[in-house]
Amino acid sequence: MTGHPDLTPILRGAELPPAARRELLAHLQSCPACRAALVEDDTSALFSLLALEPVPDTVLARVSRGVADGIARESRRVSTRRATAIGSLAAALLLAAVLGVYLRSRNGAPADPPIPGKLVEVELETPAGPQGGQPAGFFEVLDSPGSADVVSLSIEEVDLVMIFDEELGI
Amino acid sequence: MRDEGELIRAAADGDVESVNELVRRKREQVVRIAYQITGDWEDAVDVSQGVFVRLWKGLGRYDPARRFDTWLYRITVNAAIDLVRRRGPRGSHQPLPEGASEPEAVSRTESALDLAELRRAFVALSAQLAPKQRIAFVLREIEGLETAKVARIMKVTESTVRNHILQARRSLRAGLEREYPGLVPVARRARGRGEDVES
Repeated sequence: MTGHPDLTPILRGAELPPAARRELLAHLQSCPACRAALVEDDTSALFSLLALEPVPDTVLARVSRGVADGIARESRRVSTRRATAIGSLAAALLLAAVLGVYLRSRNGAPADPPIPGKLVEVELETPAGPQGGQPAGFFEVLDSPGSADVVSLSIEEVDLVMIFDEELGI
Repeated sequence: MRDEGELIRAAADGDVESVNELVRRKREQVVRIAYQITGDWEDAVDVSQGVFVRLWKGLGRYDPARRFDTWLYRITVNAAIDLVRRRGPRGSHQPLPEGASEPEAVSRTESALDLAELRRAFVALSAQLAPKQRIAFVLREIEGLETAKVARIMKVTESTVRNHILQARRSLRAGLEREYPGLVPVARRARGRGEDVES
């Protein structure tokens, strides 16, 4: 057949360079005779012509835009989580310092000692203002062996267990 | 044009322009693979966007000793198949674009092949394939990737890829001849009926 490409590579399932393959498929789409030769033994070979469907530019542009938006969203989410975690840790450490002072001062003071196992709500003043209404966290005295107090402090995602011991000065 | 390895390293370091360039270079192939598997442009867009965002998140852990394209296409294939599983198979009769009409059965085989109709047939028939058969057929027979590359993407041997394709062809061939005879060249149809046809 004159004017028709050699179909042997594609008929034998050879792996063609992309440009050569596209050229061959483009010919097959327009030439019924060559198409008939292609599907001589296997009609499913017709589906290889689906490689000719172009990807609309609008689709490509939407993918790029969507990816940029998605990455920006993820970046903001990671920054927010990180800021929240750092803020919570800072608040927890601040409260721990205050609590340490409180527990030391109660020794010998007439104030009621904290009861092991009882949860105590704490409120915090933050740069944004006092977090009234909702407790910022809880502290709980887990145990008080001797001169020490073992305290659990929970603020948002941060959990601390601390030991205060007046004799040891910690 | 920047070397791809350098581009990937810069993107992993957080360089936005490098990320954008990497997306520009790879998006067409990713979209094509997603489209061939899902059969729908909207689904292909959703899959592709998710793939690149996931890729961006994982770039910090990317091992340069691994082939980038293999990694990218594996994510794409898995995401596309997951979407198809969640969505369920599409119906065999997709609505035609406004103003279009079904072409005559005889004229289709005597002129240029209508790719839209071929697409409809593939969407319907490939829904009956097992996922691995569909993936292997799409990557090798439609996208023209080397068998070795398909094997790496699917994490199977080359002989397994060939077996999946063999099974896929058998199923697609039977479905095409049974449900879409108008797409099959006349000589093939006649031979299938046992008629004597001049070649």
